[in-house]
Amino acid sequence: MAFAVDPDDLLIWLTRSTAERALVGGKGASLSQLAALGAPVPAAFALTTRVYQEFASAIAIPERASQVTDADLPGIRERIQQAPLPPAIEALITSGYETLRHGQTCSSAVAVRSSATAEDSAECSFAGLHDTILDVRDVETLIGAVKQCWASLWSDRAVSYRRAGGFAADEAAIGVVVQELVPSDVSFVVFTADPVSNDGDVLMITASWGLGEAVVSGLVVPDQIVIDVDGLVTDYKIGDKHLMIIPADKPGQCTREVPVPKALRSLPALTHEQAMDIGRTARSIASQLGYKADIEGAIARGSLYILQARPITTLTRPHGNQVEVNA
Amino acid sequence: MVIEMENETKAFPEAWEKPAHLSGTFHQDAMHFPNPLSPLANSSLNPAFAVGLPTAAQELNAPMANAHIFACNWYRFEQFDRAEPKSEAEARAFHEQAEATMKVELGRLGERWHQEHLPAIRAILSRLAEAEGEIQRASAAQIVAIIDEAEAAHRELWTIHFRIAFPMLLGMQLFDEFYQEVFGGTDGDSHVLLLGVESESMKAAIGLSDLANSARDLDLEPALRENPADQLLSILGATEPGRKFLVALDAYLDEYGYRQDLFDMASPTWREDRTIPLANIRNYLVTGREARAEYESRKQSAEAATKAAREQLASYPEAIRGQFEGMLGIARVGSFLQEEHNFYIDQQGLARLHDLYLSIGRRLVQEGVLAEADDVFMLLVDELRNLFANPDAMAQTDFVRALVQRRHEEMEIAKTLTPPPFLGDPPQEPPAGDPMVRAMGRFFGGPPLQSAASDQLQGNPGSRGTVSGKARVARTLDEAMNLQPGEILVAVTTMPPWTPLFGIAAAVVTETGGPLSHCAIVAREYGIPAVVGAHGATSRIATGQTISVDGGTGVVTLHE
Repeated sequence: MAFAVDPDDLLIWLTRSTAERALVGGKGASLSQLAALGAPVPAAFALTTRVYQEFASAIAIPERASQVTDADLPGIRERIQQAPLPPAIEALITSGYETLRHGQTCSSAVAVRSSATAEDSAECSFAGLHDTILDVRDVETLIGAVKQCWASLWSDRAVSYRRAGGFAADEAAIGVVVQELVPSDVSFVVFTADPVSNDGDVLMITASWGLGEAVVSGLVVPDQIVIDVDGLVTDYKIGDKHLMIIPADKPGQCTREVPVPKALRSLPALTHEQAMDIGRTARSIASQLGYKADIEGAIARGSLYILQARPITTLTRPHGNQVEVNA
Repeated sequence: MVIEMENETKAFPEAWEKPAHLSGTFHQDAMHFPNPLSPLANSSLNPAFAVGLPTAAQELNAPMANAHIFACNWYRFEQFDRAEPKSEAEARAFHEQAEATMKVELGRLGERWHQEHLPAIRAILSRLAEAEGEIQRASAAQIVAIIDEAEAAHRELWTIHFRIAFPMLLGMQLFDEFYQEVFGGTDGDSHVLLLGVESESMKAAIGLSDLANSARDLDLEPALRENPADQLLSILGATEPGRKFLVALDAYLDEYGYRQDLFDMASPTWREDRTIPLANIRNYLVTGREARAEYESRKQSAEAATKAAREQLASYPEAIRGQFEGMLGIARVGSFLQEEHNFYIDQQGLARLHDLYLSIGRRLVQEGVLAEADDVFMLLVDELRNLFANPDAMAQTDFVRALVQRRHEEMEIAKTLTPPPFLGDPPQEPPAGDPMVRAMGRFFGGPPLQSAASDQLQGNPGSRGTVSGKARVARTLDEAMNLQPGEILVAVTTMPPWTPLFGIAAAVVTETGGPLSHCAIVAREYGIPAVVGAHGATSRIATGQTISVDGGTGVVTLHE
């Protein structure tokens, strides 16, 4: 099947250029923006909305939620999952994956994330409605994961959101981000302002062992570090980091929750140097983005990675029962 | 820091009492000292301990407030109490200091052994050997000086012993706790990673096994297996291959023969009484076991288990992986030192002291004071010293011989007694918040456990596995030598000289010890079930009785 579209609009490397939200979805756009600012983002590519659209039209999936009823949804999702990929698309994904794997320094796994176009704007949040699949280690699993992300566009919740959002939100299109999975030794969240007083001269870092979900979901009491206007650590409060989320050791599972050995619960998760490094990076990102930012990242194999950045919004900040895992 | 060594002989029949001016709890360490100690051993070992342990503890910032050892009916009772902090703040400060010191010591465990402790021990052993050679020609005054030197050397040996023992035990305890936190499971699992460490004890066992092989090659197997131990020397000396074998045996004993049965300076060494190593060699022939092959197999088990653990940890944060490797390294050094320190200090140190004092005994036979050289062990160090310091004392041969006679009689009576586990105030449960305290608990085994059933004994799990068989109850190493392949060894305690028996026994049950005790560790090395700390085992079980042992639960079931 030949595409009438320029191949460069099908697979975009997010760490090489700034990409448009309409093509790569919110998550993809955010990542490419971070990369363009010089933040250390793990390597990633996006399968654009056009890939989805080509595939969807080839198997006659409707474009809009208003065109289907709830009863149609399971059938639609089934078709997306089961229909074979056109060889050209399969080749595209395989070649992208191989390039990614070839350049990998950090781990041998990738994470696959839905990146919807209507997500993560300041007004509304579709965050948590679409899928994330972690710890993908081969092409077959990757293809399955991509289809799972495409199918999530047609989950009951996603469809009802699109219907509620009115006509503008109803254009069904989804990008997929495939990113090097960072095996976080330590995960952190930085607020480039005091979360209570909103004082922008102060940074607050929370950090804990393993993948970021433990910090983000409130699973543990993380370490809390305060960085002052000069970039120095003024306070390091050690939290009781009694649990951590780490990659599962069985294929097919994503992650597991394990206890942290006693010896490490009260050990600081970050050195002062690491905390200051995080502070500098976060400040640079926030000032270039032009807003007070909530930035997630990790330290893996001694290197600092930035995974996500968004405006500090206490209302739209996802917590608790999110489907998404940001790690 | 107060140090005292009390030595009192009570009027027999027994009265079990502590000295009136001492208070608190005094323990009878049945694991190391199930038998009464000879007067010389008591009067030499006890002060050495009472100096050595507190000195080492002080250096580790865990000072002792009380360190007393006394003998009652020639059984040793000891008290080692940590200093009590006066306030919460002081307690925290103590704890932090001790922790910080221990952390450094754990990191230096191997380095200190090789650079400091082993050279010091070797120098002491070498000097003791040298001094022994001087006894024959020394003047009385010189012998007094040698006795003082020997006693100082003894104190130093035990100080070194405890400098090693505390961090060694703690290192293994911390690794075990960490391992269980991360991987779950039970005690047995973490120790697999520590198997197969090469040590002098291991080389000694391999040397013995090799001697068994050469005996087989020389066609001596029937002779060794079919004759009682006390006739073997004359039988072997009567043939050419037998004599060849004895030469090889003596060469082996020159290196590995400085060891005795349990901790009594009075016990003959393997070099003196070759029926002991010969009985061990016979055991190797009877079972056909190969020490070298078993050692290699243990090494492989450790390597496989370590690899598996590392694979499981691959998805863990670097901090946990780093901690694991660090703790594993330290625990392996600990496992090595557990055998090594015992070989050099507990075995060779005491054997050299034995030889030295036995030489003095021979000198006293020459002087007409003693009837037999080993009567010297019936005297206290001070009494012995006085004989050489004071010509008048030396002249009173009748008095000395009567004293020796009386002491022999007391020892014979003492051997029939069962000492109480403590004297003075009843023991208190120590706080378990301190890992060092937990380590000691798992080494010594804690208070007696109760079993629900009347036909069962409850002990501590020592080594996993279940087996049923005929019991062989042995209170001494001599008795244990009767152990037949497939029998279950039931003893009060098993210290390193008993190790070769683990190759024959189907399982081991001891009355003393916990999962970190020597018996448990060796049983795991040999892959046989063991229950340790089963109080009353040697009284309730009879030789020949069928028993079942479950090393995983610590339950011993008595049949018939």
